[in-house]
Amino acid sequence: MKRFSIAGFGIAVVFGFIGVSFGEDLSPKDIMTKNFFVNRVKDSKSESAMTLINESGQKRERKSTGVSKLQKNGIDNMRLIKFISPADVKGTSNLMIEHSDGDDDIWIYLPALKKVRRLVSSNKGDSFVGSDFSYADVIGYKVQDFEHKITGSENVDGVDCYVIESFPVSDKVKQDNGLSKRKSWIRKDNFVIVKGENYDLSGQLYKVFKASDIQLVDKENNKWQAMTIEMTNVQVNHKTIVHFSNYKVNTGVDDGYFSQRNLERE
Amino acid sequence: MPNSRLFKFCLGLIVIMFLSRVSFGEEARKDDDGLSRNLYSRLQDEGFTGFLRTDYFSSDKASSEKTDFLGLTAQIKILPRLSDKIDSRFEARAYNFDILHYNNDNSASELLEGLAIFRFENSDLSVGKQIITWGRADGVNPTDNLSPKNYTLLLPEEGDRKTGVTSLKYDYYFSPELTATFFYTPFFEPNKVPFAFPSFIQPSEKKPAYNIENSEAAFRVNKIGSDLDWSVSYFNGFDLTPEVRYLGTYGGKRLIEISNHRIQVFGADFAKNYGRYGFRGEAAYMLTEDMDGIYPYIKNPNLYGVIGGDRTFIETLNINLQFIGRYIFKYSDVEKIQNQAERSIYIKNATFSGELDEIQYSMSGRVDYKLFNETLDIETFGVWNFNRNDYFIRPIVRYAFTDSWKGTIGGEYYEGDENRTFFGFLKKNNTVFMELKYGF
Repeated sequence: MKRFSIAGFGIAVVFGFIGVSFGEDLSPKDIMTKNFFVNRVKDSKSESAMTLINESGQKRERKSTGVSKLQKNGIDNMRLIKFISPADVKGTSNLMIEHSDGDDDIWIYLPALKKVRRLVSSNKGDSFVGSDFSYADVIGYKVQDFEHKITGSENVDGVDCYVIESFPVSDKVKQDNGLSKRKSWIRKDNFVIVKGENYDLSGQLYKVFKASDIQLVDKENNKWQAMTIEMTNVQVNHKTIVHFSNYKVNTGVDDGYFSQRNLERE
Repeated sequence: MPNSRLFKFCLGLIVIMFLSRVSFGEEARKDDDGLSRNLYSRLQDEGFTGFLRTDYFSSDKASSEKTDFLGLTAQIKILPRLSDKIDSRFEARAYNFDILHYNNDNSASELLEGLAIFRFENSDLSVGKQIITWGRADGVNPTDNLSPKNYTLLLPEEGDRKTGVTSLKYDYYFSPELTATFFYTPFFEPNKVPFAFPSFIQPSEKKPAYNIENSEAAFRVNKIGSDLDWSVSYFNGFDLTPEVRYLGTYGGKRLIEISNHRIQVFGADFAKNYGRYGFRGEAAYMLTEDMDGIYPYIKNPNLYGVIGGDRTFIETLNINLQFIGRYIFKYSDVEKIQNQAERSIYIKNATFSGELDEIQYSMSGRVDYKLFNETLDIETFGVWNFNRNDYFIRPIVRYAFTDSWKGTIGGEYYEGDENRTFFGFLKKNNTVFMELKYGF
């Protein structure tokens, strides 16, 4: 109970909760904070199939398994993603440890070289294993890294959504994420993002995000997860679709799972 | 089993697996009643993957005069889980690097890895033939002294060169971030290096026998996380790179002995990010059998270090630069050896061992540009030795036609004085290569 309280207080301090009111008059920051936490389950295990589709319709598919766990501060996740196909990427693994108060730690294990490499985590705009998702898309954008503004309400696929524009708070955040602006459509009923637009450093529309098959994965804690997510790079007309399956939450994953030991385990 | 028979057996096995996949395809794999489907999917459940590759090299890597090699390679890997507490890993390769002139000499089959990994609560014990890589620098790793490399292999990727060493490795995990590793083997295997000698030189190889006296041991403490990765290590074993000793003349020929000497290596490395830059460093202090620098056929003690960093520009253009330095203790100039026959041998030995100069400065660079969602990968790796102005450059272009089919084209270019520089010494290995690879 004490741990929970401390974690809760930490969240409040980091995201500036204290003093804001809840209900109808949510600030854009409150909405983005709720969005940030809506899929942050205690831990999760899933399988995913990532399909990359180029301009001419040619498809490539990568299958992986993923395990995540929320750290004790209740904010930062730990993630271990292991690729199981195709043959030339099988065994490649990514370990990501988020730090809301600093740069994240990201490592990649390359089975062909039998080597673990630390990646430069501030390059969050870099493509995640050749997909249209960036590392920032996978890890999640830190709420405090952006200034948020509500620009209206829109109905997306029959659901009322807040439309929020987010601007990097500093040039560093802008450069690190490779974005000048994000636009998010956040469902009013559960705060899940169903649509998004990312704008490149020159302000041009760069990528369009869509989420579907949104499921309540943890009823007790009101956690939701989109089972299909899609990112299209509109500048080159390349798309990545990720389908999650066997999504399980609160299975009791041990902290020790997120280790070099498991990163190297093929 | 003779090499050619084993090669054919392995190749046949892999072709059967390949055909079973093609014949029974995606549709058949949805069923659960066909034998072939079961065989393939069961193998997949056990982590089965494989490659068929055909390669062309315009020159070999053994410093010979031969040209034009068309090779065929089959490689399989399987990761059977023997129980909840025991994993295993097997990877084998069968290849013929000159199928147009097929014979026993140009065929080979090798077990790259074959080991069982016993999982305990806070430790792992790995027993068997295993590839172990130490060191955080890029491509040049002074602390990486455990598993041998085959520098004569006609395959294009750096990762293809290593083979396992039959050994015991024990990893103890103090925490998810901190690991202590103990390594032991009595089965030393040296690097295969591109030594080529003129007909008036008669070489003989003296490889350490497999016995307790020739044991190797190593210890490493490795830490990741908290914004800094580092390790310290100690190795007591044989130098992977062989050296040449002049024995005299017999029947008009110069007799030489190729052997590996014992060394001790104290090593350390680190990796740390500063903003958008990733920095890595690695250093090793090597003690040898010739601490006083008396014998020209044994390396002197030396300090060998690499430091550098990388940065990614425009999302997928990565540039990695490293500075490399080596200081030879008790240095003596082999050019001053009086006997002409001895001198010429020891100049070559010092060239290959990196002992021609007391202090050596080098630089390595890797430029890697990935395009079209990593479908096309253009990379160039090079090393330039400042002292004697010799260099090596290795451009390579990889293209993924599909998830399964990949093509590679590239080359290796060595330049420098043929008699007095390391890369000049390897000039005969200048080559253009191509590869078509099918993964399944």
